[in-house]
Amino acid sequence: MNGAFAGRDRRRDFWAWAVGAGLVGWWLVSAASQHPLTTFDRLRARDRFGVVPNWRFFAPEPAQHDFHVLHRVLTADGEQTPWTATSSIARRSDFHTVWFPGRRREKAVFDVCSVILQHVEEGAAATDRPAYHLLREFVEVAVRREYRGQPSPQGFQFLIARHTGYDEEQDPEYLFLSPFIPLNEDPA
Amino acid sequence: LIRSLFQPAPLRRSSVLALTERMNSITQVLSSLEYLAGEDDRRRGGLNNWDLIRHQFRTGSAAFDKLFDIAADRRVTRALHAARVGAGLGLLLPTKGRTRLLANLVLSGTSPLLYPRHVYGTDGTDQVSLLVQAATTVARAGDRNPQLVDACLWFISMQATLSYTAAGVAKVASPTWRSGEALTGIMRTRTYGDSHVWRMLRSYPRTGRAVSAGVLALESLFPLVYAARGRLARPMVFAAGAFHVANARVMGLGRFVPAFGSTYPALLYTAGPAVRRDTEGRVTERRDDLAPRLAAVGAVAAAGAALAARAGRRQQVLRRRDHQRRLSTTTRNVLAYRLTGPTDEGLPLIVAEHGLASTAEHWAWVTGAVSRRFPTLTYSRAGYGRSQYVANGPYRLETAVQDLVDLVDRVAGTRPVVLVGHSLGGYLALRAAPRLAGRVTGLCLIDSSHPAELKRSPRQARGAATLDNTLLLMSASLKLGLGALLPRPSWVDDLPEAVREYALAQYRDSGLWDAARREWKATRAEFLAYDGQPLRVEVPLLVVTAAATASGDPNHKELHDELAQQAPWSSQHVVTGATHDNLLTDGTTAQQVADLVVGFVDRLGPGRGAAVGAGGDSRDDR
Repeated sequence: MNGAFAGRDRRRDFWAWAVGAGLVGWWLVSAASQHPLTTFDRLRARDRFGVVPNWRFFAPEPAQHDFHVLHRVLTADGEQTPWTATSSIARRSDFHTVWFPGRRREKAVFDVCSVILQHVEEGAAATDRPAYHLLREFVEVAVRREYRGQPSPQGFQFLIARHTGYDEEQDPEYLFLSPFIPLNEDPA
Repeated sequence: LIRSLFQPAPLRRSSVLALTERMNSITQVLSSLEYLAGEDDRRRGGLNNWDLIRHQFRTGSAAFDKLFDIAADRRVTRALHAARVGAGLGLLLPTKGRTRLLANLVLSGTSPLLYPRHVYGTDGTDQVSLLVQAATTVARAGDRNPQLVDACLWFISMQATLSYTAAGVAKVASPTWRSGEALTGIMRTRTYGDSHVWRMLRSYPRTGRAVSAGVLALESLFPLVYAARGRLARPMVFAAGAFHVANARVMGLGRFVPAFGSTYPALLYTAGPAVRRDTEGRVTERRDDLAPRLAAVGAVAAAGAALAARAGRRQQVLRRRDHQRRLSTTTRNVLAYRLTGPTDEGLPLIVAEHGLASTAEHWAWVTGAVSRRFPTLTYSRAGYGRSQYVANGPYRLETAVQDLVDLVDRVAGTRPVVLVGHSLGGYLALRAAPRLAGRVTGLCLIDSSHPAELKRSPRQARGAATLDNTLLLMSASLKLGLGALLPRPSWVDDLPEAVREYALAQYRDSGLWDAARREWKATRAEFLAYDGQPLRVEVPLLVVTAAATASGDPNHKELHDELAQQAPWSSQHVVTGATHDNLLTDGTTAQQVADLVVGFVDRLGPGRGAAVGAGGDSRDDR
C-alpha cells in the first residue's frame, strides 16, 4: 500500500489539484474579507449565498447596548397609551447552553434595528427600506394581537431605544421614532 | 499528562472526516430545529418575512431568484429543515458510504438556499457549518482519494485558523478592546451578557482586563497551532474549546461549541506530523500538504498584484491634470490648483476648500456651475492629490490656513475673493478670512465644522472617538496595497464622469488618509482646546446645512445658527434631501449649493469688487 500511495503522491491526480485549488481560492477570498474595517468588504458585498464568512466576532466595535423596540397606540376612542415593550430579551439561563431557539429572534431584532439606524446615520430615508417595513409589520402584528377582540386602534407609533442592559445607571437613548402608522382595517 | 498535552495528536484521516461530520451535524440539527420552532419569524410580522426581504437577494439570474423564492415558501422551508434534521441524524449514526454522501449533499445544498430566507438572526455558527459541510461533502464524494480528502481537511483547518485570527486581529485593531472596556461592555447587555459576570468584572476590573487580554491573545495568536511541529495544537484547541463552553453559558452561544468543535479534529490532524507510523515504525498514512502550499503561492501572488496596483494608483494621483498648476507656499508645501471660468479681473474669485478626507474633485458639480459666472479656484490641500506636504515641525491647522492665505495672495491678483468651504474646509475658510481682510468679501460655509462641535454635539463626539484609529487603519491598509478591496463608493459615480476615476484613485491611495489623519489630530486637539468664545466673522456669510445634519444632529445645526448670527449679514439655508457627504457629490443637491453660492455672491452686489484695491473694508458690503 505504501509503495502505491507514494507513487500517487509524486503525481497528484487531477481531482486533488482541482479541489485543492478551488478550496484555496475560496479560502483566499475569505481571508481577503476579514479586514478590521468593513469598508474593505468589496468581495463580501457580492456574496448572495452567505458563503464568504465574516469572522470578526464582536469586533472591531462590539455591541455594548441592547436594542429595545417600544410602541404606543392611539386607541379606537382616541386615547394614547404609554410606551410598551414590543420585543423582549430572555434572561440568561443554564438551559441556553444547549437549547436557545429565541436567540435567533433576539439577534434578528438586533440586526434589523442596526440596519435601520445605519440608514439614519447615513442620512437616508429609513422608511423606504425593507428593514423599516419588517419592523413596522413586526410591531403592527404585536399591536393587533394585543387588541384582538377589541375595537381596532386608530394607529400606532414605534421607537428604537438603546440601553446599557444590567448597567441601570445609564439612561436609555431614543434613536429612532417612526411616523404615526394608521391602522385602518385588518390585514387580508 | 502534561507531556501528552503537548504532543501532536495521532489522528487517522478517515476518523477525522467522520468525527468532523458528526460534530457539524449537531450544529445543523440544532439549527434546523430552532428554525422549525420559530415559524412565526417567517410569517407576516416576522423579521424574516420573505415578501419584504426578497428584493435584497436578487442575483440577476432568474433561475437563482426562482430557486430562492421556492425555498422561501413556508411549506418548502419547513420540509427542507425536516430533511436537514434527518440528514444530520444520518451523519450522527454509524451509516456508511453513499448514505453519508447523500446526507452531506442535503446539508450543504440546502444551506446556501436557506441563507437569504433567514438572513436576520444568522450568526457565525451558520457560516462555520456551511463551510465545514461543503468540505466534508467534497471529501466524502472523493473519500477514496486521500489527497483530495486532505485538501478538504486543510480547508477546514485553514478557515478555523483564519476565523480565530481575524476575530483577534479585528479586536486588537479596536481601541475599545485594547482598553479592556469591550468585555465589560458586552457583559452588561442582556442580549449577550450575564448580570453576575458583569458585576464581577465591574468589581474586579483587573481581572476583566486580564480575561480580555487572554481572549485577544488566544484569538490573534491562533496560528501558533502550527508552530513547534504541532506541539501547541492540543493546548490551543483545548483553550479555544473551553472559551466556547464558557461563552455558551455566559453569552447564550451554545451552538458555537459544536460548530467550532467540528473544526478541531481537522486542526489537530493538519497540525500533527505529515507521516504517521504504526508502533513498529512503518508508515501507515502520509498527509498531503498541497493546499497550504497553494495558499502560500496564492497569497504571495495576490500581495504582488496588490502592490503593483498600489503603485499604479499612486502614479495616477500624481499625474498632472488639465489646467493644473502648482506653487510653493511660505510653509514650503506645494499646492496643486486649477483656475477655471471667466478671466474678467472685475469678477470675484471663488475659492473652494474641501473637507477632511475629501478631494478637490468633490467640488466638481458646484464649481462646474459656479465657474459659468465667476472665476473659480479649486485646490488640494497639502498631502491630498498632487499637492505635497513638505512643511517641517508638528502639524497645526495654522499650516493649512497659511497655505490657503498664500494661495489666494498669489492667484487672486486684485480680484475680491469669496471663500467657500465644506466641512473642515468651512472652518479653515473662517480662519483664513481675517488674514485676508480687505480681500475676502464673503464666506460660504457648506455644512461646516465648528470648533465647539466635539464638546456640544454628542453625535460628533461619538464619531470622533474612533476616527483617528479608522484613519490610521485606512492609511496602513492602503500602503499594504489593499486598495482593491475597497468597493467603488457610490459617491464616486455621483460625480461628473470626467473626475470620477481621479477621485477614486485618491480615495484608494494612502496619501489622502495620511493627510486626513495629520489634519484630524490637529483638528481634534484644537477643537477640544476651544474656549467657546464666539468666532469673529467680519464679512457676509452664507451658511448651508444639509437636511440630515439639521435633523440628525440638532446641536450642530445650533452651531451653524450661531455662526450666522456672528456675521454682519448672513443668509442661511437647509438643503432638503442632502447629507453631509452627498451635499457636494450628488448632482441635484450640489446644484442647489451652486445656486445658493451664486445668489450669495450676486447679493454681495457691486461692492463685491469695490472692497479691494483701495484697501477697502469688507463691511462696506452690508
